[in-house]
Amino acid sequence: MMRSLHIISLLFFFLWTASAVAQEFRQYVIDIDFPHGKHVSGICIIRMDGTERTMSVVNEFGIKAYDAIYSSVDGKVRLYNVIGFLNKRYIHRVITKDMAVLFSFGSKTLKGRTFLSGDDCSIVLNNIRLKIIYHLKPIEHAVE
Amino acid sequence: MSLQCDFKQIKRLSLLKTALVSRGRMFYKGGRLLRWEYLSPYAYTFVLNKDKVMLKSSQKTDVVDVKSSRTFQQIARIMMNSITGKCLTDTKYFKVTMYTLKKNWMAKLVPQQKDLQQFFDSIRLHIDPVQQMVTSVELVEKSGDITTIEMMNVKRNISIDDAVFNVK
Repeated sequence: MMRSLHIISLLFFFLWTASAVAQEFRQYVIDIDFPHGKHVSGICIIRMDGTERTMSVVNEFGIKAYDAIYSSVDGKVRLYNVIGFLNKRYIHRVITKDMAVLFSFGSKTLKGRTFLSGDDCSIVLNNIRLKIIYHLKPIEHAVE
Repeated sequence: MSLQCDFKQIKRLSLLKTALVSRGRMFYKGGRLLRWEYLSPYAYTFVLNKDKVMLKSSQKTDVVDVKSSRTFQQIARIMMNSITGKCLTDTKYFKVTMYTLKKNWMAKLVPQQKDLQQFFDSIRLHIDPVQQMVTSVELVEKSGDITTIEMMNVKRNISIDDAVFNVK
């Protein structure tokens, strides 16, 4: 009886550690430069859970800009809970394509976009045609 | 009147099944002086000094004339009125319902104007009836996500240097 309980405990322990290791959060301060000197900033949290990747972008006050889910099946990004002034089809198209490159951490390339990663794990994603530059700087202990 | 406190902001991210937690401090001085500063895990400062707003991130500092932006005017008014309690009578901009809970009061504010409605479904202020002040604020978004801001170490009517509210 005691031996069975030990085995079950060990099984739960391994399952718990396996799930904890598979799930990872990457946390960034995000600064986005637009043409004509316009600029927004916020926080970008990416959850990586095996082949699933989800992202939330909020401003510093916690107001959500959008959620994004990357599908490993078709390699596409879908947006959810997009804030009003971003909730337009042409803006969705830009964000989903730019985020597809970001979700891949540079392994996926798209025409008209460059992806640079620094030694400090910072990221610069440049949408050349539209002159939109995303700067991501890692932060720690943002999620609990 | 002046007010100084620390705050803890918890943003529940339902899709990611986690919460973004940030900490900072706030200074308020009678009139139109407010400093809202995030200290960790990111540095970000919002200063309202009469008709000027300064937004300072680690990358950039912007100073905006509140009068030039209706949205900024609304945000500045909400922040100030939440601290002073004037939001409870701001019926042009909010429909206010008061609730009596076990240990405190709650004011539910539903935005009446479109520009605020795109950000919030409602704002809930939790008020300590003994201290007669807001102890926490919940910002409820249309997606269902909630941002909770808890005030701690509150100090009232202390001397605060005007330099704290410089917009540079």
